[in-house]
Amino acid sequence: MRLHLKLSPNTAPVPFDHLHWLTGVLHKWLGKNEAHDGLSLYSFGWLGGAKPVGEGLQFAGGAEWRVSFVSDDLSDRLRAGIRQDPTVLAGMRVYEIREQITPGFGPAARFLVDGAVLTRQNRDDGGRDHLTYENEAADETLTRTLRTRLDAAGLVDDARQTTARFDRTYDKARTKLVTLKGTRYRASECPVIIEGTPAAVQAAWLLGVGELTGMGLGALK
Amino acid sequence: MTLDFFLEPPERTVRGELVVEALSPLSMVSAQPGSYYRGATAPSDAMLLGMLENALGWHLGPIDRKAALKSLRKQAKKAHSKTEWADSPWLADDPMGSDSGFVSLLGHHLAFDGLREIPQTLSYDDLWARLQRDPDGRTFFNGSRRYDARIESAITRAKQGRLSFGDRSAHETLSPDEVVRAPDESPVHYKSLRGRFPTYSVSPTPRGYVVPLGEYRFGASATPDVADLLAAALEDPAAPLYLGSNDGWVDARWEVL
Repeated sequence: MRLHLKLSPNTAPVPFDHLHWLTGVLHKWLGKNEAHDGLSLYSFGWLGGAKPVGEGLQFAGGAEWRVSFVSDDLSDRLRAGIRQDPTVLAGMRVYEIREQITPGFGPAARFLVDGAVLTRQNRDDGGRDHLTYENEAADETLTRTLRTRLDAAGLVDDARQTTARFDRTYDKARTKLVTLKGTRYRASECPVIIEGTPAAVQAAWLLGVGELTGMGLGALK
Repeated sequence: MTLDFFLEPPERTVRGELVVEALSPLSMVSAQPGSYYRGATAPSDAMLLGMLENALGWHLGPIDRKAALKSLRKQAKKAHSKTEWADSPWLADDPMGSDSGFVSLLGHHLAFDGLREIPQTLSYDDLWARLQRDPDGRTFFNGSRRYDARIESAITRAKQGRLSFGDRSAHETLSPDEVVRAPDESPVHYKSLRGRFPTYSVSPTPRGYVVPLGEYRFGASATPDVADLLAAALEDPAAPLYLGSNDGWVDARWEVL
């Protein structure tokens, strides 16, 4: 299930690198849970409706925030957490939670990304190279991470037939430098095409693609 | 029917949730529009307050409601005119009402705190039989399906374009019998046939409906007395509960957080 949260306008500037704050807010609502340290079976997009003002972001008309879970149990916990404490950050608070039941997409679908997608490749020396949408090897790592997470979500048979790739025909694709707790990542703002069983495509829409989906990367619109 | 809760200061110390489950499609129209009744995906606060008053059995018309509020406020003022509540809206104003003029008795002692959960909804339009009154004789002419059989021939001629109905100065006001006998091409004022149509016409109007696929939840705060009243009334409502139109049946419960 996907939840669309509506947030009231901020009362203090929101820092540009606020993604880890959003992660913190989610875990405040979810409470102690197995999703915190393990593989994230949820994804969340970036706050919509921002304008850069000075050293931060301004959400004069409030913000919209999409959070998706494959488990109804986790989405119920999130809603209960919001009811207890609807504050987010910089004076913003949740005033509306709108549910969206997962649509049927069929065996293939192209999704815009809700933020940016991170893919990396292991180097022989133990380091990791960032792969952007321009590099065709990125599709392999996108597929591999998606299959791992589909496995973890219980879709073992569907995972084997599922692939993910960047839509390189999109003429507005670009890369973006994302800072998470001081570490910078080169991520891609480029639509992603998922092919597989209808159940796997639905799950991918909820799980997101690429790495660090639990930290606000890789969510799909 | 006891409204004693109103005499207590509106210290809304109980935080709770109103949980609403739709039992049929809902058409929640918050304003009086023109030719299309646009349904909202969630009820307004005024609709929720109205639903709760139905559960409590408070079926007061606008005049009795205003009189009840005035009398209650007078009693409350007497008891609290020298306290910190002297200038509060509770003793000074009617609670905020809806676009249709409904003012709830509960409005000061129960407030929705803004946090609401809206389930996914399926939506569709249907035709709704709107009853409308037509004082100047124009709307019923094209809107009402019922009229006196004695003017059938005049209506037929009007549909064929042989009689010209309108409301300009050139259009003459005749008696219904004169209209029937009037020669072709005669300009006739709408009002001429007003008496041969019902007082209210029934006009099919497009209206939006939603089918909610889950429960609605509304965060709220209430005084302890009102919280108790709501919990008891929703457990055993005095009347069927509905939102929007009167066939938008719902089930509701009050949960204290």
